[in-house]
Amino acid sequence: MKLFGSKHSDLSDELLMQKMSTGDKRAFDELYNRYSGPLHAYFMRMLWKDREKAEDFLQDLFAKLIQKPEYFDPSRSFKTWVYSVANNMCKNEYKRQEVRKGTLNGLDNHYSLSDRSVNVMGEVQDAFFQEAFERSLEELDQKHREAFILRHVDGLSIKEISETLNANEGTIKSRIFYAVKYLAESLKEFDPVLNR
Amino acid sequence: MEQELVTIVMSKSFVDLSEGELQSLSEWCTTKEEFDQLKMVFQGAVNLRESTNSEPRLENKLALDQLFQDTYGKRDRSGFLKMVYPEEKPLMMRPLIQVAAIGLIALISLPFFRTNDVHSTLQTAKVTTENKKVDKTLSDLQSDKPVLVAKNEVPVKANKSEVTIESLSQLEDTRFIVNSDENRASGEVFYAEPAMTMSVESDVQEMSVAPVSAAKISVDTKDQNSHPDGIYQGVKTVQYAVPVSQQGNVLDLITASY
Repeated sequence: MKLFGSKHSDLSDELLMQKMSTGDKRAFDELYNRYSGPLHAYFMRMLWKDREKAEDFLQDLFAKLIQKPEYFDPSRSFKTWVYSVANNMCKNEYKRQEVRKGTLNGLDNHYSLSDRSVNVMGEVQDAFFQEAFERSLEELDQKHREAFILRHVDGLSIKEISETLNANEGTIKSRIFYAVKYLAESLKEFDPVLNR
Repeated sequence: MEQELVTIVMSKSFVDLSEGELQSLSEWCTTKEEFDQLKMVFQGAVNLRESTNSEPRLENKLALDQLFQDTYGKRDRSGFLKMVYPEEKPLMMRPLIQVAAIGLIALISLPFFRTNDVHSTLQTAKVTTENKKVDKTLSDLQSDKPVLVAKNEVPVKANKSEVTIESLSQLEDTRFIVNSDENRASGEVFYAEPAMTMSVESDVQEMSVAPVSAAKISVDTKDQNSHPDGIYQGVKTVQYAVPVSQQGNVLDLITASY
């Protein structure tokens, strides 16, 4: 603690988590500011761009942080820990959806079309490309998809991903390599997109 | 794939790649077609990031704030403790810390104030001692008791005197230093006839000041090293004025007749 004032924005995530567990509201606010956006986006990507679901999941995640701060292991990086919690929540949701709808990963076949119909009026080529990309991404196995998203969409390092997914770095690299190759292969019909 | 390679793929076309860059990308792509496919994948990732880069609703935050209040409000400390030691404030801004700091400063500076008090008390005690002994007269001086007598000065009665003054006229001047703590007097006696000076030191049980035949009476007291820290405490001089008319050995020019 600084004698004449501590700026919470300068503190590490782990220290903020410790402070939050003692009832420091400003620590919680700072953590929320840092991670609500990225985690919301992560849930959006992992949960079929369902905004409502992403909001609910984000709230559930921060509610867990508030109510059960002792679940956080101070020896771990907060970032990888919170992403692993988010990832596990997504996995649970996939299982729930599978049981409920009997579809792979609980994917609703109509969700994406309604979400992207607006883009059809715009640059058709780009929209088709993006749709194909995301469809290919959905077709990927979950462990490959989450590794690819964490690396190339959320920007986590290989080490962070390995901690988040509880797998060694070699495995993560292999999964990402496979995902990239699979996506590249599935998108080769979209040559016009290349030169923009 | 390293971020630098992603940047290369996203920013360059295949024909612009240097030998080194081609070498670096050899694991991922070796032909223009593969390079372009790689570019599409990363472009799709960027698009996905941008399309999902939304902030959560404000209502979510408000609900979480309420949950936080409900959860940690129960553990809240008493109102008084929260007031004197608010954890959200910086350490030095908390009233309890400030009060403790003031108390510490007061505690540290207390010995300095105490020293001054002792000094003044000592002086007061000496003055009191001197004042209550002023009831002795010359008759005391002329008794058979061994007495150190100072002409025009302070008669000091001592029980173990090494010097006995037979006649007052022999004394020219006397300066005594009385150590009231140790009941000792020391000083010098100046004789007129024969002209000589004698150092005197004596134990003192009682001392008195008699303004009987003196133009002035002075008592010097010096508390030598009586302070535990050896602090010099000065010399106290008390002077009493005596009217000339009461002095037998002073020529009164106003009333004298020849």
